[in-house]
Amino acid sequence: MSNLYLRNRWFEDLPVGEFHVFGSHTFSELEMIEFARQYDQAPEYTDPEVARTLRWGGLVAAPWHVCAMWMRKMVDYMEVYAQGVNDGRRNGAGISVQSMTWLEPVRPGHTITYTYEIIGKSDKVVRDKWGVIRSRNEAFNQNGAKVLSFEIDILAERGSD
Amino acid sequence: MKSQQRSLSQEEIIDFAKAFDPQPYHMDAAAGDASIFGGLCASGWQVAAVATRLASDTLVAEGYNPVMLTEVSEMKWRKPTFVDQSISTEIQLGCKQPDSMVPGCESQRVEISVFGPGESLVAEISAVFAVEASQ
Repeated sequence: MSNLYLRNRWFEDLPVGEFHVFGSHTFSELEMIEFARQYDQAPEYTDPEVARTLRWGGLVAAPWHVCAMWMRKMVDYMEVYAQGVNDGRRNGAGISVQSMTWLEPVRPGHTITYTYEIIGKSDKVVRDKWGVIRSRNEAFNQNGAKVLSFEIDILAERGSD
Repeated sequence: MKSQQRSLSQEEIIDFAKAFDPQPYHMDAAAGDASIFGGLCASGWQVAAVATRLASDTLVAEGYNPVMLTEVSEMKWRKPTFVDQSISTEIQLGCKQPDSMVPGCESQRVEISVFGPGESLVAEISAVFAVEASQ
């Protein structure tokens, strides 16, 4: 059972091709506005009345909001399977992102599902103990349309042997 | 082009982490000290969002009209951002493409360097914004 889990495995034990569905989130108008007020000034993200007259014909989620929710879903997913392993022991920081594109607007009430697939492992050793796992991450709306896609390099602790 | 500065308070860092990145080193000082970062620090996604906002505000002030962030070809997190540290960005405009995922817009590449205290490089973001198509 524990072989399926992300956080309690060493770098060496995480296979390329492994696929996970982190979970789904339904975006509400209120949370979209709250995020955008702090991080994006455009009325498309902050003002439902004005947004109705603009290019998307209604409020949409700020791009970083859709992405930040991926992080939340990943952390929640890992926590469920953490099995008492101390945080940071075998699963470390993200170091870089590649090829991130936002493909479709996310609107209030849309349910977004986030997926993760390991697509590469680097032989590079960071600070004597971390390996680098590259994953492809995608997010789909309730109609199956892809709304976000990116790759990210995340550190994973190497086993002691 | 240089942006304004912004810093993140402990409360702002923890609030963001609770909502989007609830890992101990983003929510608890002791856990931050014990982590690879060496202190309570902001989520990399919060830094990305703040840096993009600073860059986008600067583009507006300079007469460009960034409509939406549509792509990040590459982003590197170089250093953690700790409580109350100032962040600023330096922006270089790259090439322009005639189309965009946003209707009626062009794509403008924008290279964003994110600096912390003492001009230390915190992150690099190679972004594409949808901008109003020129007439």
